[in-house]
This record gives sequence, C-alpha cells and structure tokens, in this order.
Amino acid sequence: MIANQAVLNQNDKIASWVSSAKLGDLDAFEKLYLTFHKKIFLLAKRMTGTTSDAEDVVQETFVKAWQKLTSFRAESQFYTWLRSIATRVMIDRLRIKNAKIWQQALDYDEVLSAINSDMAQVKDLEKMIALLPIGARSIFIMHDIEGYKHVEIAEMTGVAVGTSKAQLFRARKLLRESLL
Amino acid sequence: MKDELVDLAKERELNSRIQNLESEEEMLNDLWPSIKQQISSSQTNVICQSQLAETRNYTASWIPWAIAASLIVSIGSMTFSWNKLKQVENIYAQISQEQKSDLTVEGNLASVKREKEDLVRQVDLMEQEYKLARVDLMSKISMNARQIDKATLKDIRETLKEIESANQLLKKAIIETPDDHRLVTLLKTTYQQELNVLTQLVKLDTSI
Repeated sequence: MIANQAVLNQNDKIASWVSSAKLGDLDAFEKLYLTFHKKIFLLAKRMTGTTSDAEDVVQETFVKAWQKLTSFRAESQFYTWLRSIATRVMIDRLRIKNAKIWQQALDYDEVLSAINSDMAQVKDLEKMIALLPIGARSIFIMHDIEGYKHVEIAEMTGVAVGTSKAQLFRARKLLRESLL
Repeated sequence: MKDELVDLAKERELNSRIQNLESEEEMLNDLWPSIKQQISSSQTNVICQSQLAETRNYTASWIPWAIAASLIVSIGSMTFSWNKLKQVENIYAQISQEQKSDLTVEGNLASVKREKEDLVRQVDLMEQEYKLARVDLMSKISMNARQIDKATLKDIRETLKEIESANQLLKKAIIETPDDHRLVTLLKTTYQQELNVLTQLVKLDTSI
C-alpha cells in the first residue's frame, strides 16, 4: 500500500515535471534527467556495446526529448516515450555504421562455435549479450529486455517482421546454448 | 524429448536471467551540464528564430505599403520613360524624314547626272562615227586633191570648218540643256549633211 502510494507520488511528480518542462522549466527537466538517465544509459550501453557511445546516446536523447517535449502526450508513460527516442537514436547510429545490420544472416554454426567458446568463459548474461552479433543483439534487447513487439521493431529498424523474429531466435539459441 | 526438456529448462533459465537483469546503471560522468548547455544554445537559436519571425511579421505589415509605393514609382518611371521614348521617336522620325528628302534630292541629282553622262556618251559616240566617216571621205578627197580646183578645195575646207564650229556650239548647247532632244537631232542631222556633202565631193572628184 505504501509502495503503491510511492509509485503514485512518483508518477505525479513526473507528470508535474513534464508539465513544467513543457513550459520551459529546465530545472524540472533536470529532475526528469536524474530520474531516467541511468535506465537510458544501460539500454544504450547494451545496444552500442561501449560506455562512450552510450554516453553520447544519453546526451542526444535528452536534448531531443527537450526539443520534442511539446509533442509528448500524457496518456503514455514518459519513460516509454523517452526510450523510443533513445532507441531511434541508437538505430540511426547503427544504420550509419551498417545499413543492413539487421538483414545480415547469421551463419549459426560458425557464430555458435566462435561465440560459444567466448561465452563459456562468462557466466554473466550481460556479458553474453555483449558478445552477440550486433544485429541479433539489438533485436534481442529491444524484444526480450525492453518489451518491444516484432512489429514495432520492424517499423523502427526498417526490416521485415520475419527478419526480426529470425534474429531473435538465433540470439536466444546462442544464449541458451551457452547457459549451463 | 529429453533434448526438448533440456531446451525448455534452458529457456526458462534464460527467461529468468533476463528478468533479473539490471534495469539501470550508474554513469561515471555527469552529462547534465553538457545537456543543459546544448539545450540553452538551442533555446537561444529558437529565440533568435522567433525574434526573426517577429521582425518578419513587423516588416510584413509594411509590405503592402512598400508594394504600393514601388508600383507608384514604377508607373511614374514608366510614364516618364514612355514620354521620353516618344520624344526620341519623334526626333528620329524628323531626322529620318529629312534624310529621306535629302536622299530624294540626291537621287534626282544623281539621276540628272547619269542622264547627262549618257547624253555626252551618246554625242561622243556619234562624233566618233562621224569623224571616222569624215576621215575616210577626206582621205579619198585628198588623194584626188590635185584634180580638184584649189579654190573649190578652199571653199570646201572653210565650209567644213564652219560646220565643225557649228557642231561644237551644238555639242555645248546639248550638254547645258540635256532635256532638249531637238539639239541632239540637229547635231545628228548636221553630221549627216556634212558627210553627204563630202560623199558628193568624193563622187564629183571620181567623176572628174
């Protein structure tokens, strides 16, 4: 009961900061940053694989969020909205590196033998995820960790739903094989 | 079946581990100052853009007046230019007319000159034919001059001189009054008569 009350209070606070930030209150926006930047940072670190890239993503995400704040509707969660901005920023960055990153087929046997040997050394799932090929990794993070649907992933990345499913299947298989 | 059970076990294990993953991670660097700076600079840009837009709006209210003023100036300039153009056209028309009349006079003069030259050429040609015939006749007469009476010969020569001087006067008159075609006819007749006289003299001389 007390926990629910705390969540409600937190949601009210977020709604209040969002309203103030929409009116140009930078202090209120700073409170939103302090509340959500760690989540966005971890998501970015998982997706990009490096701390420096993740920091760049966090910075770009919050600047874009400030610029687009007037388009935010109160019906959705602020974090969900913020996360969608961050995800699109990361997808754009990945696309710049390789436009066909999600279409690349995984040669399961070769990848498995190469990655399994590395994964066998680590028992931490976080580190296993980091060892996944980038296309499969980003779709695994978006679907299994962040909870995006394949349709949403396909819309954001520009790949077919079947491709998204195939990449997720291969990522999960790699991870399962490595689990003892 | 056993493999499937193993896979299912691993699947559950994987799902469980996914559920237990951390949801956030502490950052080593504080990014807020940098974010705040970017936001402030972008706000400055937005303010500048809005001020620019206001300036544009402020300016926009004067646009109809500016257009109207421009139109008035343009129409005035056009009218002034039109009048000037007309004046210049009139001047050119006058000059052109004068040039045309000058050309007509010049043309007439040239035409008269050409007629005069043609006439002189015609008279010269006539004179040349006459002289050739005269020389021929005179040579025949000279060949028989011993058989002709000296006094008669003298009379013939004096007569010929008079005819020649008369011819010269006629030629001069023709050149001065080229329109009078009777003079040409008269000159031609005179030449013909002289040649007739000389021809008769040759015949007379031959008969003697």
